[in-house]
Amino acid sequence: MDRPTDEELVREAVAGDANAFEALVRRWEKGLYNFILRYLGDPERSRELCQEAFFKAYRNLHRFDHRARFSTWLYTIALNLCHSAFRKKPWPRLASLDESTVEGEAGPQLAETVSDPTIDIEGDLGRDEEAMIVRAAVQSLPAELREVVLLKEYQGLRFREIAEMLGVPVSTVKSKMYAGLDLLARKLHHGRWPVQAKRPQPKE
Amino acid sequence: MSACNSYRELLMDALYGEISAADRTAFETHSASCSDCREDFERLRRVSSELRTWEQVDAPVLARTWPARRRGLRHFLGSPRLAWSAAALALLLGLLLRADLRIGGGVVQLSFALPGVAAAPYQAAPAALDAEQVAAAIQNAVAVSEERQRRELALVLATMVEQIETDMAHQFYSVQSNLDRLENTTFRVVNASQAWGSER
Repeated sequence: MDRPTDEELVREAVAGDANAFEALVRRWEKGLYNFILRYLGDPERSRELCQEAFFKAYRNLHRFDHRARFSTWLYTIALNLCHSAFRKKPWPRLASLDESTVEGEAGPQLAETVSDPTIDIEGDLGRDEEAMIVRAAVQSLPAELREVVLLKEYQGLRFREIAEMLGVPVSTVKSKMYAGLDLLARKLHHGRWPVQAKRPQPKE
Repeated sequence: MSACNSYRELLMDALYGEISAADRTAFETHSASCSDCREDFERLRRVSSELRTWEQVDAPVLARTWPARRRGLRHFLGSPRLAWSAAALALLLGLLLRADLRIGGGVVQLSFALPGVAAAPYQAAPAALDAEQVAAAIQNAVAVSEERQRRELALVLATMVEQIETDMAHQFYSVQSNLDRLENTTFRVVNASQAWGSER
């Protein structure tokens, strides 16, 4: 039994089959919700926005141009909603990696602590904490880099699709992606590998 | 430690498997002789894999609310409660609109204005349909209407309660995840500063 493609479901939904659109929602809600959540950082607002994106898609379904993938179209709608939501209210401030870990003192910066080779990140802190550090790093990226990183790394869109969504040349998307990853590498590693790096042994 | 500018695009293509065969050859030839580009590729590949530790979460709340909103109407129309109140409503409307009750000159006349059927006046014998019976019929109609309104109110309240429960569930989830996050942060910061303290 073949699973209908997104585009087939769109045709059925436009023809008046309500179940077809529900199938599309079920197929994409997780991806879309996570994209918005990573963009906004607030579960409640992300839920509302995700719902709004689906309603918007539903209302404009007859305008969907079958040259693009449905998912790309859906992400474009969500991205536009995110842009306006973010302008109104940026996400709650997270701990900055450039901040001191000791309040009111010139202690080590969070990024230093994170990449401190004496701390075994994987053993000591575990995967959840590592994910939290990644999250903080991604959310501290400038918006124009962050959205490219989110679309590419987490939603797996192709460079060409992201370029179409943003209305910029493919080369621009690639250089933004490079800049984003480069910045993340600096934030996460502080110029060193966090886990593999060994502390140089003092010579006797 | 940064790649040669002109190879950055190819580096991105290679990293995400979108590189063409010809470009791959060009990139590999260059990388073989450029340690900066090799290191850069490795560095960014590592970042990319680290980013994956930030995993997707379920969208439980959305999954509940979006279909619920769409399923809502169908659910509503299909429910036995509504079927009963709809039947009651139809009966009441029938009584109010179709049946024309005339009381005058000691005669009670009931006529039904059915569509396509000429009104068929029904002459009731004065003895058979007195004021008491009319009062009883009205009381009955009012009772039916009250019952219908009660059921409709119950339905509206049930819907509201469901909505509030959904919202509360989400808020609890939100508070819970914030608490988790706070706990994680505290744990990390304490660990980190202990490690820092012992080092000094």
